[in-house]
This record gives sequence, structure tokens and C-alpha cells, in this order.
Amino acid sequence: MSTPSWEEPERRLTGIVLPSFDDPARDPAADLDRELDHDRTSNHTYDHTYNHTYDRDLELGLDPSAPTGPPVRVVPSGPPPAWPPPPDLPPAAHVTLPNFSDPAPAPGNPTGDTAWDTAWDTAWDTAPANSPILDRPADLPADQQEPAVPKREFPRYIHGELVLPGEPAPITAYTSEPFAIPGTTLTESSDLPGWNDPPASRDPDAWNDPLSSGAAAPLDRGTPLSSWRTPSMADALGTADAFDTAAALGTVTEPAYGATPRPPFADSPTDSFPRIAAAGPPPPAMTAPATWAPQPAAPADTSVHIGHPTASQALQAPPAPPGPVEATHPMPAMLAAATPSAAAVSSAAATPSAATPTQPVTKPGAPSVRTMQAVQMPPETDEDETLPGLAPAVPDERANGPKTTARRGGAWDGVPHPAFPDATARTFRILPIAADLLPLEISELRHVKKVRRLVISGVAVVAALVLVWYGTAAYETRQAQNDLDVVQDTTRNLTRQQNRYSELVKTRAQSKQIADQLKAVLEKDLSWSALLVSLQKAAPKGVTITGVTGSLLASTGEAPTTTVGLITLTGTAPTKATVASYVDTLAKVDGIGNPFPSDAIIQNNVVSFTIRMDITKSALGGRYTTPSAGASTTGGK
Amino acid sequence: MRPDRLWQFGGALCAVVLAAFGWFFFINSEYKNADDIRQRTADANDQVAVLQQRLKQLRTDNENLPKYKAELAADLAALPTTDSVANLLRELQSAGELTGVTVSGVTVGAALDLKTSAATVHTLPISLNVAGPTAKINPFLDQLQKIQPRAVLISTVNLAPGQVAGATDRTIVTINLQAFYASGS
Repeated sequence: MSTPSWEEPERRLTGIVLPSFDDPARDPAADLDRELDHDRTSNHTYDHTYNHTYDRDLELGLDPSAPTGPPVRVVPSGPPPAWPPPPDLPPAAHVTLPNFSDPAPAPGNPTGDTAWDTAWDTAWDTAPANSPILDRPADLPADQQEPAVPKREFPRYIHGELVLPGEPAPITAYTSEPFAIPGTTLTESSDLPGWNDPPASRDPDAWNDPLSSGAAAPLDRGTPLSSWRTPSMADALGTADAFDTAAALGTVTEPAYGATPRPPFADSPTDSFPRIAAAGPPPPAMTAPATWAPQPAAPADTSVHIGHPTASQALQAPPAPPGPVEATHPMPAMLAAATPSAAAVSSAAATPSAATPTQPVTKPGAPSVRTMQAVQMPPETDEDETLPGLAPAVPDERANGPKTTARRGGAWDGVPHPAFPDATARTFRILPIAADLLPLEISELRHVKKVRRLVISGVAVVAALVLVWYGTAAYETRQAQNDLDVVQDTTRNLTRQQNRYSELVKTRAQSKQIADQLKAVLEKDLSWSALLVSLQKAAPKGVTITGVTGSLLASTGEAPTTTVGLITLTGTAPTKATVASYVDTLAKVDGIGNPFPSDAIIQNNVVSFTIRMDITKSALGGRYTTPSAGASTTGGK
Repeated sequence: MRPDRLWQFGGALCAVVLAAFGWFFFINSEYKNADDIRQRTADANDQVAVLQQRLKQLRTDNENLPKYKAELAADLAALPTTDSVANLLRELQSAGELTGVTVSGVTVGAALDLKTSAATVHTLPISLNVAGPTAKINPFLDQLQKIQPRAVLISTVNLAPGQVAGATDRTIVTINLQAFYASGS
């Protein structure tokens, strides 16, 4: 498989591409060198990485010169070790490399770790002779000692959490409580599994030494661990082993850390790893070519006693993977062989022993035993000369921490992991790429189902609205019907009340009927007395009325005319002129019309006359009819 | 057509049909019924108003019920349900005596039916012979027409000077009149 040029910025990555280690055309050493060339001042440590690998081959009986192709680096299957170890430690002991293919516990491993239990062993074994974490016999000259190969970290998933390099692993993995809350601060070193049980390979003296020697005060079991014993430290060195390491390294100082409150261990990687002012070759410049954290700036005035790694070094160590310490992490195995016991470490760690650093306990004669003595360090110098210089270094660094970056990783950022020397941050970054890989049929089906639900819901809503509309109309109808019922009830009630006056109504009705009948039959009723008086009064002086005959015209059923009757009047007058005057006067009488003198005969000097006249409608009027003007009682005078 | 589009159009069509169906078959009829009922309610309200007014008038008239009863009795006397000729004769005799004339003769004819717009009325033709002073004739006529209870219609009046011994002013009046009764009422 050809390794893609994933380092090219113009290429678009579609996934995380790990470098291929079995690419014959690729020289991993050259890649690593190329990567670190521009940052490191000394890269000769990497040469020893592979040289040591070849040494391991020699130990395994393999011929390194055999044409077996380029060495294939095996990616460890387990979690990475607490990488990197303290730099620039001089080789102190010879390491007996375990057999890779041997699953049995290593002969010198008192904890029962296998050679393959963790990748740490691999890294450990492949480390150069002057690996900073190995306590090797000082059989090599100082000039031949080479700095340890910087290793890299990579993100890991620990208990479902993505732990970036330099970020502390959940501490609960190291507690004896199965349900402990992640991040719980250890309050005592005995919480760590196997802490109180000194391994058999450990030196009993060393195990009891810290407590018996009185170099450190006993732990306050109720007091939480100080910041430099926080899980970040434990993570860096494998929890309890980290403490062991700290003690084994001579521990040293925790000057400013004890006084200055440390931020949460999540920020601990931002602390720079203090550079060790070693007398030997200068430490390799730690670069961050493409990693997740910049190279912390090392203060010039920071120096550490050579051969005594400080506690800050332990603090700056990258986190270790969680899990059973005994089974998976390589550090216990390593530290089990180390002389300093856990108690010693805990005592040293609990006590600010910067003023009186503990001397590392080493067993130079035991090659299979790894100690955490200050390895890879130049010859010891006076502690009093160097330790004080460490104190102000860290606070200054912390004070200027934000100027570096917010990245996590600590001092070992940029140091490639031995298993992935070519890996960079870009390699492990999570690409912000998302794609909808759902099949189109399923998407369309879901869309159709969604539309169907919406349509059905809409139709249901419309139906509900229609029902509500109908309900409103029905309600109005019922309201109108109720109003009508109320009005009808009122009508019936009023009618019932009228029935109480039925007698009155009946009386009036009957009276009215009779009145109507009388009015009809007495239609031509007139006041005869008034008419006769009118005739009498209309007669001039000297006229005597001898007879009056009046009659009403019979009803013909036709419309009544002006004349309703006839009057024939007879009398005597002295002269005809008087008669004529009487006629003229009768013409003016109301109710009399058309007076006509029919005859006038003079007998015995008296004129007898007869006048016929009509009775007009104006003469009508009676008790049961409309009163008319009636006959003039004055007779027209 | 895409299934989702089909669902959308179908849903819209279904909603429209549902709304139209509901309107034409249920909602509209309900509104019409409501309008009819409101109209009937309005009429009933008017009727109630009339009834209330009438009831108020009845309550007022009921206080004058005796008066109305008297009127009815007078009306029944004027137009009795029977011919009541005997009463008529007594009334004529009484009128003459009251006015100072002498009703010498009364002739009552057979009843005739007279149809009017209101009802059928029976007519009794009556002829009177009255004698008395001329000045007493007019009051007698007024008594017949305006005072006596029985309504009569004088159709003919004939005034003639009388020749009675010892009397200087004596008038003989012959009066034909009609009395009525309404049997059917």
C-alpha cells in the first residue's frame, strides 16, 4: 500500500490516514528526522531508536544484516505508555529486552507483566541505551550516552472520552472504587491498587525506607493530594507508579507548586516542562512540528539537579492510559522492579521534599530491573545549586502560560510516539466532514411519510374546523329556537291572562254587534221633530202650516242619493208673495231641498198653497246613527 | 406525480370537498333554520307586544265592565232577540202619557226580514194614531225616536189639524214606523 501524501496541505483528507510502516520506499527514520529537523537541535536520539531495535533483533537471534527488508515497526495494541520519559537522562543501566513473542512474564518482572502486555514495553525495549527512564549501569561513558528518543502521544478513547495528549486520564481507573466518580482526587496513596502491597522484587528496605527514614512526613489521609500529586501526575506516570517514579527519580522539588495553586489537571499540559540544565549534552529541543501543542518555552534560568528529576517533571509527564495498572500499564512492571517503594514515593510526594530531595534508589547490578533513578542525566551536581532555580521557573511559566497556546499536551507535545514517529496532529485530527449516507429510497420514503402525516393532520384539522363550524351554526339555531320558545311562552302567557277578561270582551263584542245591526236598519233615521220645527220656523209671518206629510223613500239597495224622503206641506198665506218668500226660505233650510210650490189658491182673501220638497241626507241622524247636522231648529231664520 | 405531491393535492382536494359538503349539507341548512326561527321570533315578539298592549287595555276596560254591560242591555232593548210587541205597546202607551198625547190606535204588521251587512234583522211595521196639541207632537216624536228603549224607524208622518169639539189647537198625527228584532243574534 502506498502511503498517501497526507502531509500535503492542499490534499483533502477524507479520513484519518495512518502512515504505513511497511512501505519499503519510506524511511521512517528519515521521516522522523525530517519532521524534527527544524525544531530540534539534536536529533541523534532517534538514531538510537532504531539502533536499539536492531540490538533487540540481535538479542532475538535475528540477523540485522539479513535482507529482510526495512524493519517493520509494530504498532502496539495496548495503550501507549506514559510517554515521554524524562529527557536527557544518562544511560544508567543495561536493559534486558524481553522477547516480543513471549507472552510469559518476563523473568525479571515481578509483577507478572508479559512482554507484550503493553506497548510501553515495546517502547521501553526499543529505547536507546541512554533512555531517560531507564536506570542503566553507568558502564557507558557520558559522551556515548545519547538522549532518549522523544516519543509522541496520540488521542485515545478512555472510558468513552477522547483524551487528548497531555490531558489527564480519568482517575477513577486507578481507584479501587468501581463506581468512583471520574476525576475524583486521590486523597491518599493507598487508594491506588497495589499500593500497600510491595512487590516481591522490590527492595524491602527501599519499600520501608521512606517511612522509616523520616525523610518525609506521613501522609495526611484526610488531606487531598497536593497539586503535584494530582491525577495528572498519576496519569503521567501511571498513577501509583508515577509516585514511585517521582520518588525514584529523587524527587525533588516541588517548590513553587506547593505554594502556587495549580490549575485543574486539565490545564496541566500547558505547563512547560522545565529544562534541565544538564552538564552533558544539551537536551534536544522539543519541537512541535505538527502536534497538538506548541513547544513550551523553557526558561533559561530553570535548572534541575541532574540525576534527580523533579516532581514537576513527573507532573509534566503525559497521561497514562486508564485501566488496571497491574495488567495493562507497563509502568507498574517497570516500577515494581524499581527500588523505591510506593510508600517511599508517597511519602516523598506528600511531603514537599524540595529542600531535602530523596536520593534515587538504584540497583545498578540488576540489569533486568529498571529503576526510576535519574537516568540520562549528567553527573550529579549539588542539589542546592540547581533546585532553587526550579522554583521560580514554573510559576513564571504558568503566569505566561496563555501566551503559548491553549493546547494541551504539556512539555512533551511534539514528541512523536515511537510507534508513530511520523504521526502529526494532522494525522489525528477529526475532520469536520459530514455526509448523509442514508439511501435515497429511505429518505424519500420518510419524506412521503412525513408529508402523509402532515396531509392527514391537515385534513383532520379541516374536518375539525368544519365540525366546529357546524357546531357553531347548530348552536346559533338552538339559540334562536330557544329565543322563539321564550317568545311563544310569553304569548301563551299573555293569552291566558286575556282569558280572565272574556266577559268583558264578550260583552263588548255583543254590544258592538247589536250596534252595527241597529246602525244598518236605522240608516235613514232622522229627527222628525226637528224637521217639523224647521218647517214651522221657516214660515214667514202670516203663513200658517195646516198639514205636513213626510215619508222616507223605500230602500232600494242602491247607494243612497241626496234625497232620502219627500215632504208635502200645505198651508195658508196672505199673499202669494208670502208663499214665494216661504219657498225661498225653505230652500235655505238644512235638510230640505228642492222646495217646489205646487199650488197656491186664493180663497176668502187667503192664499192656500202646497209646497213639495225633498228631504236631503243632511237631515239624517238618529240615536244609533251618526248624528247629522240635523234640521235647523230656527227654520232658516 | 410524486407521492408527496399526490398526497398534498389529494389532501387539499379532500379538505375542500369536506368543507363544501359540510357547508351545503349541514352548515347552510342550519343557518337557514336559524334565520327562519329568528323571523318567527320577531313576529312572536310583535305579537307579544300587541298582546301586552291589549292586555293593558283589557285591564283598563275591565274596570268599566258594568258600563259595558249596561250598554249591552240597552242594545238588547233596542234590538231584542224577539219581536217583543207587548213591550213595544207598553212603551208607546207610556210615551203618549209622558208627552201629553193620546195614542189612539196601534197597528202592528207582520214581520219582514231585512238583510243588512251585519246580520238579518226582522222588521215589524207599526201604525200609530196620535192626537194631541200641536206643541205636544214633537215631544212625542222625540220620545219615540230618542228615548224609548225600542229602536223604531219612523217612515211616514202625517200631521193634520184636528177637529175636536171644544179644542182650538188639536193635531192628529198618523205615524208609520218599523220596529226590529234580531232573532239570530
